[in-house]
Amino acid sequence: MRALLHRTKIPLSMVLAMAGAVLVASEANSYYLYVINLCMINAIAAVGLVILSGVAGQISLGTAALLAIGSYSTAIMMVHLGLGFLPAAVLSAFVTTVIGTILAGPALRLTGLHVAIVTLAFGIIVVQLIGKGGKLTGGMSGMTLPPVTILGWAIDNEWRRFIAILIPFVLVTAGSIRFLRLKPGRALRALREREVAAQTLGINSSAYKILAFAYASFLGGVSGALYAGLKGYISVDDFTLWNSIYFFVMIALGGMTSIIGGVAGAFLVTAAPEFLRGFQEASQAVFGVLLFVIVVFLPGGIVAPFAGLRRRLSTRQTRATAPNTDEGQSGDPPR
Amino acid sequence: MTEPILSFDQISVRFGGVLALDGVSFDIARGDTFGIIGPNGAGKTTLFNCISGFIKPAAGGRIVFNNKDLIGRSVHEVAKLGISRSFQNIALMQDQTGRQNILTGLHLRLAYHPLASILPLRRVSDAEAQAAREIKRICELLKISDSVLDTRVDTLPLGQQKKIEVARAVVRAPELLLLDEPAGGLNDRETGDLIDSLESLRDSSELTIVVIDHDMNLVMELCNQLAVLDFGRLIAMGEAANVQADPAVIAVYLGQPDAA
Repeated sequence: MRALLHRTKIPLSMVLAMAGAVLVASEANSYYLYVINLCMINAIAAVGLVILSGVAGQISLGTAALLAIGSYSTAIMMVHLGLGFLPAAVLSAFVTTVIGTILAGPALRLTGLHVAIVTLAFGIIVVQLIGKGGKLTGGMSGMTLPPVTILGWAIDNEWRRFIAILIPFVLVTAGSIRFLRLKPGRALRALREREVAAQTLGINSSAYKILAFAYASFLGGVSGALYAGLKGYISVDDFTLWNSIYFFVMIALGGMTSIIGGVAGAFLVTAAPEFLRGFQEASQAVFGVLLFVIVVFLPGGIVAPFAGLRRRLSTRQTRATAPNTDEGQSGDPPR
Repeated sequence: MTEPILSFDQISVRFGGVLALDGVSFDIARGDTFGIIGPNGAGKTTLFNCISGFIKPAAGGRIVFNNKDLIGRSVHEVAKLGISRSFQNIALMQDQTGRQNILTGLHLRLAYHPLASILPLRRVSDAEAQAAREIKRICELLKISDSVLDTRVDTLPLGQQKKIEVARAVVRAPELLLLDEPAGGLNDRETGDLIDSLESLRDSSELTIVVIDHDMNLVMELCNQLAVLDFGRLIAMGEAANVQADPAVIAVYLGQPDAA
């Protein structure tokens, strides 16, 4: 078991969390199960955003638009083309990847806030197009999906939905952890921190930025497709700018550059309304205070204390004192 | 003389009104350790930036590496041809360990597709295991200890950071290594240590090294060939000892060799 985890580079903590989730889910009533399902769906998109914004440094406010494309293409393919959920979802993920990757075009020429604005504009355009989509998208009144079956298995209760969502969730999380730990993650981090030096190591800056957009778009598409399948009914109100901002809050809470952090942040933000239900009308205010406290006291996200603990446990103390490091910090590489 | 590994032909670069390089032409032979010296603003780093692809020289100039024209290629393409470099101001990822930094230097050697990393494939784990062995090899050669390797680079002394940057540049076994002021900001002990490391690097491989430095100690100990730039022009070049004795060079440096 240990060897398998080591070989596949999946942390033990994740396996334990997963086992815990299944255990909780098996005891949960169908409403809580529904919330857990929604958490996993959001976590898939949040993982994409961790890679695009947290690691690659491309600030995206277009997450909800990606979800919208994934959701609506799934619904359109099921309603108008009569496709089953699985082929519709897979095709939708690819459609979303293609459309989302187009965003990389302008983003390659722009930096920082301008990328954010381009993705924001993208979100506005997508929602407007869907709203004006007439019969194809149901316009402002949304779309209702036919019953979902996967390989002949009717996904007709929360428990089955849980299984159908858990599988892609686990695959996405495990695959993305590997993605970040290995060559592509190293390349993206190098580009974000030291773009000039990274290029001299042979890292193709444009290709990796495009890859980051494609990756996040694919996961946005998967997340959107699952969302449509889970809800059975979608409308443009599900994919507003607020939703995009909430995805940003998720990864900021989690720790920006950590997959586990993004997942944790997604669970926290998605489930917060349920935890806070006891506060009744004050629940929004309590959520705001919670956000405030976490960001102020844990600027590295909720994974930061764990990462620090692990470092302390695993690396021995080095004797290296640093009398000269001040000089080393004095400048950036040329240009 | 054998076929040069790198040759410059009429390289000129103008920044606004300043002629940073003025028709520079010379060859560097394969296997040489080649020093480029000259006062501040002589155009040394500009020359490196032309090789790397950060700066495009004026029309008519050519830079040829292994019979391939470099001008017009993007930075990562130049790297892929087998050219690697370090920077005047350290350009390491400061929040990563030395090992993580050097691993990034193996990017081109890890041949698997970036998306293949998602799956627990044999060729991915084999490539990563090979990478770990390459790091061990280069760190033994450059005398970088394991404890240094596993420390965040921003907490390391400057001398160690410089060595890690060199390791990151050479770990993928390039044919040509460009070092931009490797001894800049180092004290005498650190410089001596770095010279040791660079000498074992030079003697262990076919690598061609080009060094820019103000530190004449480093350049004279390391290099067999020397070129001198002044105000963007090549004023002397040849065997290191001869160039050092050249009156024109002495005039430019005016006693600087001792001060360095």
